[in-house]
Amino acid sequence: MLELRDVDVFYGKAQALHGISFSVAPGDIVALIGRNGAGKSTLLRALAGAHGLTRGERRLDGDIITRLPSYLCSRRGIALVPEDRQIFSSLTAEENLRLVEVLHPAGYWTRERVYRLFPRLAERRKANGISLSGGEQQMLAIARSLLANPHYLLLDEPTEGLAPIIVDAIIAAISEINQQGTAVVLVEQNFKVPQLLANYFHLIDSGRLTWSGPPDRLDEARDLLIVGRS
Amino acid sequence: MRQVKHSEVLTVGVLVLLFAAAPFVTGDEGWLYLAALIMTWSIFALGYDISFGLTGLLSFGHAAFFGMGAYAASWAMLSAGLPFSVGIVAAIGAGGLSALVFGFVGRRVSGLYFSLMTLMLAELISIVMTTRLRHLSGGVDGLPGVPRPQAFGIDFFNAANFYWVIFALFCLTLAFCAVLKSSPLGQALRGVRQNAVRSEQVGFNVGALRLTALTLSGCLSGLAGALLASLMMYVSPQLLGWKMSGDVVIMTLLGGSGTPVGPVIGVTLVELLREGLSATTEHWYGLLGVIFILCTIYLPEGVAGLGRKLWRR
Repeated sequence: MLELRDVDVFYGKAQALHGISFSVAPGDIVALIGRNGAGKSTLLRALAGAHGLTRGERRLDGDIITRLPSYLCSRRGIALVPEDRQIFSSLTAEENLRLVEVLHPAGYWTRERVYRLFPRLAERRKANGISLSGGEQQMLAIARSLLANPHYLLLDEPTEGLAPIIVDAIIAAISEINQQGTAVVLVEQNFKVPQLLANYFHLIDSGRLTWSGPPDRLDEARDLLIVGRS
Repeated sequence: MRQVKHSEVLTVGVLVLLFAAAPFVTGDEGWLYLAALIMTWSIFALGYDISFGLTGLLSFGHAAFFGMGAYAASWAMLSAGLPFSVGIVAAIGAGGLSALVFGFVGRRVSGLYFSLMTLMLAELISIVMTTRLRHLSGGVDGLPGVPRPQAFGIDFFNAANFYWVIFALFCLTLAFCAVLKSSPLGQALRGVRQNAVRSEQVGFNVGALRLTALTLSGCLSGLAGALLASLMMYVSPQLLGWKMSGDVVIMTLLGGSGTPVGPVIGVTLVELLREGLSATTEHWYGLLGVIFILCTIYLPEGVAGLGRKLWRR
């Protein structure tokens, strides 16, 4: 179980998260939904150890890992795929993958398997990161995280701005990744993609979780999101 | 991508052959001294580029590693009477150790602050060595009589014979840099240069990687310092001064950082200009500045970058 307990996060003097408690259990797909600036990415970064907590704690399988540096969080199986993907653009797709592969102990996900998951990447393996399309970069970013064989995969708007056919490929991939035993936290601005995948939903607004529930109660959340917009 | 790599192998091969051919083309001691000087400074610039070109750490304090290497070798050989090989090992150790200290002090700063910190630490060492540690450093007069190797009955005070010692170490340095660049460590360092935050998040201990790169860079700088002291048979605190740090930055940028040939080309250009221009004008350094400014505007990837563009055509 990866969790945040009573977490406050600040950017300078601005408070981004207010008393957030959030958890994801092994094997789950949890969706976190909210508008621009609601605190989704901040929550995801806090969960990944990529942002310090002003108050509260971060726990992994009962261990308090609040102060664990982010490279050690990564080695303990928490993988973050940020919204801007941040692949190493001067390296080829293959080099991007090899770089991470050497760091982490072998597991289910190997380079061959991620190429099978994203055949498009296999075709483009020799291409420099900078020449990859947005969709290819997203696939590479997810593939690179998988080579760490994470227990928890945190995806920040993975389908944002991508062509429908690529979105379908990524949805299928997330589903397969989850079937192989990795829990997923999926951040999105709307329900379109999450409702195909997630088994639990949270709404976030102004740095506070405003609603949480399973898929069969999604209608309440939709109303809330619309009310929040007006 | 592969083409570029072929071109790199080819240009490195040509460079090595050129330096290997020099003693056969000319027996003139002056020219051999210049070629040896270029190879020595190239080792320094190649070392500098591990920090700058590969890892993205812009240091203005490499003179400290260079100078401490020169002094460590000189002390080992002059005061302790140890052989040349031990002096070289001491220089590599001293360069690496000073770099390790710099890296440790600067472990929480990055970017411009890191650059300024290295500059200030290096100046601190330079000042302390010139004033407080005069008995060790020889003060502004320096220490004359830094020895050359004594082995196999070969006379290394002969310019051509000592040339081959420097040539061998120059080739080793080139090979070391090539292996490092393509190794997993080298790739990780490139990742750190490009995006340190992301590297950390995919599991790299960025602090430790930076420290490793700076230390390796310091080791080569120290080696270069020792070779220069032995080549000139003289060491002085000038080798620790900011001008040395500035020179190596200029040479690396002028030639093109991030490639094995770039720093060597940069060093060759600067040394040839120094040789050619200083005979005609004492303001040659100003002319070098103008050339440097023009290069940064029109050849941002250095002379090696220009070569790469022409090769692709």
